[in-house]
Amino acid sequence: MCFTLAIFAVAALVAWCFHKSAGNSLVAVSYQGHYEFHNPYEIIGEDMAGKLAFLFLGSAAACLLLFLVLVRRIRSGVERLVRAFLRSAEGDLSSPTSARGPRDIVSLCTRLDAYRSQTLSQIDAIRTEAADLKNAQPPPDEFARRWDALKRSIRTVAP
Amino acid sequence: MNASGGIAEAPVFERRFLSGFLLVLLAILAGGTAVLFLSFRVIFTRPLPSTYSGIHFALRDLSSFLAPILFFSTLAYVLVMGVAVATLCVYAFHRIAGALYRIEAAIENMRSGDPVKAVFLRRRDQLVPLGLAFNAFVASLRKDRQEWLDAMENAERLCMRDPAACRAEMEDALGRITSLLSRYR
Repeated sequence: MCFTLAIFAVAALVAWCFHKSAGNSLVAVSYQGHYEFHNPYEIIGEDMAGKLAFLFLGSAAACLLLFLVLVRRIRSGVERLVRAFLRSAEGDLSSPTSARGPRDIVSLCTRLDAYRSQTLSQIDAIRTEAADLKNAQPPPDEFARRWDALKRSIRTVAP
Repeated sequence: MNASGGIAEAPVFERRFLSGFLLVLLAILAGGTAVLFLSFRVIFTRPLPSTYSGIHFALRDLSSFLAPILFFSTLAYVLVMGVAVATLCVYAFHRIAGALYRIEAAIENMRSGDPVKAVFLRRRDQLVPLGLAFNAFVASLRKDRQEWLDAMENAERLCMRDPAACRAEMEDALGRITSLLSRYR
């Protein structure tokens, strides 16, 4: 969409400039030495070629600029996500991903943060239960029941 | 260089993909401009009448019809270019969004408690480091989870061998699990 808008902007500018310059040339020639010309191309051909060359170069430059901006935004967003995954693999599940960039990348960052937060809550619960079970010295039947529940909780992490 | 460093430094986009996209974009623009040039040339090379007054009025008429000619030709140019560039962008988006879509689906599966599988990218998919980093994260989490379970199952095995030391073994396992979990913050 943004590429089309850029092309449209450059094309509209070129068409407007060409309309002004070619219109003026045609009117001026119609009053002056028009009998020297066999067709209108001889009057406005050079101007037209210049304007179309500008259209190509202007559209290419605008698209190139947009392309670089898009690539930079996607690259920056993806690099943040990659760093977040690698930090998570090292145990950091709480630092936010700080999502930026295109909508799909931001959406993925939000989902990843939600999953990291959910996993950290599970791990915190397991850690608390393990420490409590070790220190509380419950009776054997309660210990066995809580031990089994703890194993089930562990199995729910990245099943 | 360790695995994490390798993943972080891997290129997000293949150079071939970026240069290919740019080349096709430039070819589309050049082709469109060439077609527009040829159309204008056909319109403007129509011969002028042979009389003095005929030429005068033909040029005046052309100057007043120039606005609609330019309006419709520019509109056609923008529409054709828009469709061609949109087609190119859909192809490129398909290659970029493949990895994002697969990882997003995998994260949703994990959140809903379904079994997690590694993400495999297609041959020409971009954002390869993202897939590798996701797989590294999942592999690390599953390896850790297996260590926690191993500690508990090992304590259960020792319990069967020596029931007298059962409670102590289990408490040792719980201490080990607490220590292994402490790296998560």
